[in-house]
Amino acid sequence: MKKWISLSLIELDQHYKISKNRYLLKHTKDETIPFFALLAVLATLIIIYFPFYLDFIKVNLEFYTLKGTESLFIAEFVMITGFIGFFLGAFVLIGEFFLKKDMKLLITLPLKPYEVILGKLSVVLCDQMIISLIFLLPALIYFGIYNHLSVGYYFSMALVILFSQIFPVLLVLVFILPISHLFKKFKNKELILYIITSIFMVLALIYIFSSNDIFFVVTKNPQNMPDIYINPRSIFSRLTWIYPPAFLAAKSLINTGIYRFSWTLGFIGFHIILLILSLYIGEKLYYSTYVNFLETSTSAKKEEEKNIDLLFNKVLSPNKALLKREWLYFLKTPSFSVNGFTNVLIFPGLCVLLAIIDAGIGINLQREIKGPLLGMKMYWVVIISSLAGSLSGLSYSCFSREGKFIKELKILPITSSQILRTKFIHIMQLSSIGIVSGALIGYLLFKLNFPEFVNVLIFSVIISIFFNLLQMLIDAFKPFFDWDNPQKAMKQNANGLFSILVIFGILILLGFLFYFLSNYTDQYYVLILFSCVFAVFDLLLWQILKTRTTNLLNED
Amino acid sequence: MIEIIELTKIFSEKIIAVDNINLQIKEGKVVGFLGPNGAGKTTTINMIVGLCKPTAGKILIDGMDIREEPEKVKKIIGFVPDDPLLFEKITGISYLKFICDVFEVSIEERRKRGGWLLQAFKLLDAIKDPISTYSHGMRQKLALISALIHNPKILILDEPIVGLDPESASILKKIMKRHASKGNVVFFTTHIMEIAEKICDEIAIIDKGKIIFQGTINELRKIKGDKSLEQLFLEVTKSENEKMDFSFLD
Repeated sequence: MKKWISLSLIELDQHYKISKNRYLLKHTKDETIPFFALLAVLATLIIIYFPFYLDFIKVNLEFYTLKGTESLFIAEFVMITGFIGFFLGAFVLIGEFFLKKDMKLLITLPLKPYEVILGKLSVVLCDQMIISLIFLLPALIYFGIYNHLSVGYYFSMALVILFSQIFPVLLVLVFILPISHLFKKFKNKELILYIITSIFMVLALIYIFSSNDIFFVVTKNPQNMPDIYINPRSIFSRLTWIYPPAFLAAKSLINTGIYRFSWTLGFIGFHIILLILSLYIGEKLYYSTYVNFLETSTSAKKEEEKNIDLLFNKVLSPNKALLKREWLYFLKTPSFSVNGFTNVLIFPGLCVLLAIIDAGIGINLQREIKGPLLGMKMYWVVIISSLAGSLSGLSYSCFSREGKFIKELKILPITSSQILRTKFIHIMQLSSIGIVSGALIGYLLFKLNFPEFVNVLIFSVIISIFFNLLQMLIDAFKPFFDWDNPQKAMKQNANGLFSILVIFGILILLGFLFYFLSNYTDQYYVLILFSCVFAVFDLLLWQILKTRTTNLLNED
Repeated sequence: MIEIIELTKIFSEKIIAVDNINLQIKEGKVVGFLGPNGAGKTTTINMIVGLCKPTAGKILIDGMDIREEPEKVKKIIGFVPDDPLLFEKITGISYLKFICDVFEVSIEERRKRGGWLLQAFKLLDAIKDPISTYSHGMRQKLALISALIHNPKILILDEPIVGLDPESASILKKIMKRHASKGNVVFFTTHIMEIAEKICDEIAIIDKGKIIFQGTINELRKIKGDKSLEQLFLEVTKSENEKMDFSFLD
């Protein structure tokens, strides 16, 4: 127990850089700026989105109360939080368990695998807790206030929130441990682990959609609605199989007195049993698998491979060599490549999914949603295409991803312009997949004609350049080099949060302008005007970024 | 030639890593940069190669200031840091090719120098393997080859011998001597006094951010007496190890 507490405290200190930040705050006051900037962004996000979220909670609770199925309200929010935790936590868990360098040290210490697993789990759970605090806490507090519930409810609520991320995280862990063990001898085991986890997530997504008659029916298929009124109890019982913690949490919060106490104990007990199971599997597999992750095999060489002329057979210009380096470092780091490719395809994918849902279950998008959308169809295609092209995660981490290799760039005889140009070309090469696929899907969904498609494509390229340059600038101002696993450089980089906020802000503003100007002229000409304006912005931003990159590379 | 003029590096009010140092390293010389841990050796080297900015003072390499003409200066420097910077996922040959491309080394030169260096350091067998499979010594050898393959006028090595096997260490010492004899500069740090004694034409000793001696080992002996370099070093840096009581280990 002592070892586990000590290890968890060290892991948390290392993960959140508590000691380091305290030291920096004491010695260099400049370090407070990003911290307060991050707080400001979070506060802005909460101020903007919280009223909408509160409204969503209110409408849901009123609906369930009206039908006398309040327990489904609790279950719904526990499930939503769990699913978000599952999807966001999977890659974080892989990074923490298999890619973080601290294992090289931990494995040499007299610690049992389960103690290390507990230490690492505490870090992942602390990270994931933000999801529960944002999505679950407001819903459960609102539920308590709405129903004038006692202190006992709030006590159980606190426990539900504290345990809410354990199930999704352990589910991923129980899946990853045997999978990693199975593929531990493979050459590209990191990549395999990422790909299989992605497949697991897709399957989970299909599972969620296939069980949509539980919740999604309420909003998607009015014909099935009576089922929920006829037999809410049976639907609620089915939750036990779909998402057991939601069932237990709802039971512990909806009951009173001894029943609440018993269900709360059941809720805790369920998680403890799952934890013991995970630790048991971990005890058997984790260390032996990790040791293989540290090892890399060498192959026997044929004589001809030692031929010097063949080894040095091609010359590249410094610019091409830099671009090759950029691609190599990106492709050879699975955390970067998997995230990058997934991100450029996620928006077009979501649109395809929406189209399938539209066609399959007949939610009648054409009349109810597409109708008003069609008035600004070119703008919507631009949104799909530009978001797919600029939210790859590559631009807001272009310098952060270098980590310690930023030193390599500093000592090589190349200019900051060459470095910047290379990074920009690399980002745009990957972004082009998103831009083109987004534009094509938008073209098919919104039935654009060819000149409209070309216009949209040109503007999408121009605005994607703008967004990518903007994100590169954000990263150039405060790059996050000090990461211990590559996952942190992309997914857990605060620059991503800034970027998303800025991009969505600009898109909302642009949407308003587009809507306003469309009243006076054809949307075709509005986009041409926008293209010209943003082309000028691109040039201006490039100059600013160039100066900032030079300064960044001259910094210590 | 490397010319360091009134160079200072202050990290914070309390930490003065390099304190107004002056140093001149001429062509054709192997110069050892000695000092206890935390004396300011790596910080000085990092400022020479452009990894960090001086708080005050100037560094001239072949008459050029690294802050004014960084690319020109870097092009004539071959540098091996104390902890080699190598991307683990790529193969050794990919890394070497990248270095050659960036330093614009001709294909003939790559084959001639690269081939010789790979054979000399016995890295040819492993050069097509990912760097992650390399031992510490092999990584050090790859870093050394990449620093030498473009025939730099200025060779700067931070603890180059650490991790090398005796044969490779011996080869490196010969390479350093030969490289300097061709009119180039070799500037390196080491904690192994025997190596410094054996190959250095000159030494510079830094302690607490200040240069406390620069010259030949014989010049130091003239001042401090005829002792081994290790004894001289401990005396100059005012080491207190002679007064230490080790009886607690009994």
